[in-house]
Amino acid sequence: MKKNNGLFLFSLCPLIPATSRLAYGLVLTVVILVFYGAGLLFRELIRRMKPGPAGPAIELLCLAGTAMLLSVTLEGLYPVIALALSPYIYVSAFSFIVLVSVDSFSLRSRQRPPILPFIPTLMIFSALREIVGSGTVSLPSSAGIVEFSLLPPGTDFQIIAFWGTAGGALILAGVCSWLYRVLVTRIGGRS
Amino acid sequence: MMQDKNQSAKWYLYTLLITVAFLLVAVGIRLSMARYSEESMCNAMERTLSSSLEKGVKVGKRIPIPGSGLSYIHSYGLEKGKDGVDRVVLVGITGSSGPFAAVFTCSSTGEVRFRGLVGVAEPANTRKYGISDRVIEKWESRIGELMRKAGEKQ
Repeated sequence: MKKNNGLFLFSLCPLIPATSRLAYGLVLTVVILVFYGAGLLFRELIRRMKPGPAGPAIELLCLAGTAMLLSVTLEGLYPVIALALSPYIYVSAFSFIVLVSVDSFSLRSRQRPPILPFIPTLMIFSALREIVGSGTVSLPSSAGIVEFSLLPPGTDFQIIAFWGTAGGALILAGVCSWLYRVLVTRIGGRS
Repeated sequence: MMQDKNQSAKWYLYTLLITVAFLLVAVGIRLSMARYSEESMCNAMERTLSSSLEKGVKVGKRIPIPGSGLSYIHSYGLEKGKDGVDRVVLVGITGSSGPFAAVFTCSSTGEVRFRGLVGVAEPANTRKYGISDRVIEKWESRIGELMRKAGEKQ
């Protein structure tokens, strides 16, 4: 897990613009979970077909196909969110490849793949970013996003708005990463 | 040698079949959800337009814009236009706080105006969602240019 710190940041960075809302974070979390499930399924199917050197290319083709199906399904279920998030469905496929490519496709290994802790990290990060950046919590709906305000009416959100921007998010990601390392070092020291 | 060639031809065929299968499933999903998706999108746009244009505004049928790319710009007719507005354009725009869907109107004179964000609690409060005036101006000019080119093509 300690080694996953840099990997997490590298996978999260392309998704930074899209993780500004919990609603978006939830959608991307489901997308990455589907990639994970589809990845396991296609890997097993392709392994049984014994394709030889064509195997990795076919796996990537299946991943691209899965991204396309997810994008089309999102357009059907949440058309307004899909309009905003469509390019990021394909970007999350890249993040997925980064996460599973470590240890030469850890989907095959029996160790806990780094993608599993990445999923709650993505959700917590987008929730934290939305709370500190705009003082709201949002959920996806067919008409867009439903926002629940945590700030009292009349609060000037401009004071906190910076934390919702991409720059603020990168600083937040750095602080979270540092806090995580401190925690891991302390817990490791005690045990 | 011959066996190797047969083997690679077999995998080329499988790759083609997998691609066709994915495309067929995607077309199936799109066709089965198209109506629900269009209705949701139109309702969301009408909500934004009602607060900025006029109450009870009705978004009509989709009008394709030649040369607008794949699916990131959607254009619709307006059944009850006001101030010469005859078309509504829905685009995904990205500001400093992430991507959002925004609605613009186009009039018969070629004027493009931003009407608000779609699917958010405060559609007119663009600053809250990190969308600056500069981003809006850029999109207004881009849509205007696109409409002008589409008009020339037709």
